[in-house]
Amino acid sequence: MNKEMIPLLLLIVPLAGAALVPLLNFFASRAVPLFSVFVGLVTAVIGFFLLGQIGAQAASFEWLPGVLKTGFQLDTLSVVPALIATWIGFLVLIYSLGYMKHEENLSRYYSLTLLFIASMIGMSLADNFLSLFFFWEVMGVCSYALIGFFYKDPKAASAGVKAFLTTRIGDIGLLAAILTIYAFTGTFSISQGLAEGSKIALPLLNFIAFGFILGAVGKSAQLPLHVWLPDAMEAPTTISALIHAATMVNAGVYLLARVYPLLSLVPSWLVVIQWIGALTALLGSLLAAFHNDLKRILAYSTISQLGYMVFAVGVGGVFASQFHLFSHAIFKALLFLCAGAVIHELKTRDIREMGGLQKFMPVTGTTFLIGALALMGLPVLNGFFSKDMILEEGLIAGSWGPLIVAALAALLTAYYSLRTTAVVFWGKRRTSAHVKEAPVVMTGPLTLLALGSLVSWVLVGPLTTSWIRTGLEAPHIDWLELLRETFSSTAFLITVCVIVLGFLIFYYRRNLGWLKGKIPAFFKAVSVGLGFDILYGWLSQQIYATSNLLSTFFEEKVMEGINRATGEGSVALSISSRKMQTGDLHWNLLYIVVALLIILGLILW
Amino acid sequence: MNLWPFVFALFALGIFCLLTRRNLIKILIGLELLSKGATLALIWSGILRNSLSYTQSLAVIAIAIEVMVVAVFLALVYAFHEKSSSLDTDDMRRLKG
Amino acid sequence: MMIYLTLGFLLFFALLAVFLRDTLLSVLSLATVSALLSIAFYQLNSPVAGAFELSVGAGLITVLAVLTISFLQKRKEKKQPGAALWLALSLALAALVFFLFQALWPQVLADIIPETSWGEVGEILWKVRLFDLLPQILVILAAVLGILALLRKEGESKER
Repeated sequence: MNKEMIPLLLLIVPLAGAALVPLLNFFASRAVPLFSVFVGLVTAVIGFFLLGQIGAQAASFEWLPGVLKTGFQLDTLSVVPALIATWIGFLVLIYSLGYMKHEENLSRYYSLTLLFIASMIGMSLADNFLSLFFFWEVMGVCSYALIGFFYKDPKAASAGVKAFLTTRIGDIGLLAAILTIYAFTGTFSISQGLAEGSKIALPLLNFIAFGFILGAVGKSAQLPLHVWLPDAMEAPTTISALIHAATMVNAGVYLLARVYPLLSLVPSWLVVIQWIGALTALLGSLLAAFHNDLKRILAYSTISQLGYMVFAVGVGGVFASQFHLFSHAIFKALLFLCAGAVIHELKTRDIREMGGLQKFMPVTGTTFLIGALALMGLPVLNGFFSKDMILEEGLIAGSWGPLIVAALAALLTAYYSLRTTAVVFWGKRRTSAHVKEAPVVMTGPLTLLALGSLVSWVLVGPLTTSWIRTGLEAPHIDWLELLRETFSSTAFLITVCVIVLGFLIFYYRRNLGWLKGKIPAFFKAVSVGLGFDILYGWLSQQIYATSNLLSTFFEEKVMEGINRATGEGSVALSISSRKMQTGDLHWNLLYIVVALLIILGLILW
Repeated sequence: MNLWPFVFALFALGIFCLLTRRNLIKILIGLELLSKGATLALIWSGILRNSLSYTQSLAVIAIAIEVMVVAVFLALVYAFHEKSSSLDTDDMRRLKG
Repeated sequence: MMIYLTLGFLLFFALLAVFLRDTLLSVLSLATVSALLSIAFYQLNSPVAGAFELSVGAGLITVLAVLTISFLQKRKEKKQPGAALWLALSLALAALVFFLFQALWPQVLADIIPETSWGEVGEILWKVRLFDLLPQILVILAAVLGILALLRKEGESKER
């Protein structure tokens, strides 16, 4: 096989699968899930081949001669998100076999899931801003359709719309940035655009950077636009896992890392990114610590972890952000799939109705604990290394404000991970429902992901080998060096401190109960997500009302006036001109002759 | 040799006939005079431009079309007469505004 | 120049056609106009147009017009005064046309007028103006349809 075709194949196989699933549904609807898993398997296998292709020159195709030549960009930065999408996507597909067994419209589900995976692959491998934007949008559509998969539930439907509309705000920024780059460099190619971007004048560069940041903020659910992610929990849990771990939210972080050479030219925006990331991390972990809905806790934790990644990009640790993205994908997929198993059994998402499940679901419980510990950043799990790396980058950059906020967020993260695990799996049983362990198709992926959470940091060596090709600085380190450096760094102290503190808070949480009576307003605010939804709801209501008013004015005054004017004008014209119609044939003939003479005169003249 | 005066005379007669006569058959005659003037003008311009074969072929086409026009016109006259048993244009006033 | 004489006659008959009160007579005058025009065409050395004008303009149109007038007047139950007179007049007119045609035809070849032949005109018609001929067929079809529609019996068009 031609090696250059591997990335193309990686993109085409899931796309073709997505197209074939509805077709297959006509002939053998029962084979649809297995077929999709098969497609996922083939994609994952091709993904392994792609690993050997990092840094290779890939085939590119000229779509519009002179304007659009698009192909694949194969450096570590782009391959890692694509591989995460393939592998996590494959595990999610296997898991779906069990989780979605009794649902309807499975062909829609599997087709969209495959398309979702394919678009993430296409997005991250694109070497061209236009195709990047195209797949970016396809991903948006897929997320809309999949979040609203249970469309009969109005909450799910509106959550889908909300996700779509919120990310749309970011997409506008992204498109504006891309078009501005095109206008000033004349190319859509990412590498050329980034190389020539430095020649763009600073005010414009500010604007471009703002557009990219807006796009990333929308897609990755950062602070002002994070509201769609918690609501997206109405999706099937598998889709939540896919969105959070493999596809959607990674896109924004990937984009920021990709355009980092441009962003680094405008240091003020980098500071903004740091603050956005740190505040998002704090907000996410704060809200996660006080929520009772299992999936929403995980959603807020995703927001906070994405905040870390954005913070890492802001302080210049692009590799750290991608490394954390890699780790996060694994443990967050694990956590979501565990949560899915629990919800599947108990038919509820409220953690207050769970408890003591460890005895009944030992595999799920154990793997969830591993995931939670990785999320916390306990040493020798993958989350520990990547988070530590981020904090270290923050220390090196010396941006103390955001760093302290991020450390605070880490503390809260430790607390809520423990709290969630404890409430769900430990303690005494609070439900009378009959609970049993999930089937093998579900626990299999869980086990694999748990193993991944334990050892994925070893892969740091291969990841850094070809990092230099992305044009960003990062020293080559293998896992032994990583171990040594991590345990001897200052950041390690911070990590240990916050974990211990978080553990202490968790341990003495009953003693902190008096807080609840002291500051009720705070708890109330937290329970409604600090009021972002209310604020945005109010804002959109105002916008809606204003535009309604304007449109009413426009319709009734302007357009209606034009209508009436044209109507009355033509009536008046016809009344005045009806005198010309005498009904006498000879007058008509005269008009005809005169008209002919005029035409003749025009021709001769 | 100059035949333009005849062409114009034919046109003038035709238009005069169209505008003044009240009988539908007379209107047909006015129409005919106009088209004959046009045919004559075609041939004469062919002589002037020394492309007589070309203008003759045009004239042939013009004559053929003329016959179509006359045939339809006569059918119209017939139909009008069937309805109102008159050939007077003063009886055609349905188009009055 | 004989052409001026022909065209003078032509104008005279045209005036007659316009100002005569009797429609049948004016239609016959129109036929004479046509015939004279075709003679003029012959004199102008364009026999194809002349032949067409004679056969179609003088012949077919006159026949159609006379037929229509006779139909209408029969419906009116009007008495046809002096049918023999009309016959004589038309015969005389035809004879005049024939005489003029015979008399004028051999002598009209003026130097300035170029020679044309049927073959040449036909060639132009078929090769250069082919694009006109095809729509002309459509025009003929349209005319036929229009006539059929207009001449429908009253009873058949009740649904209007």
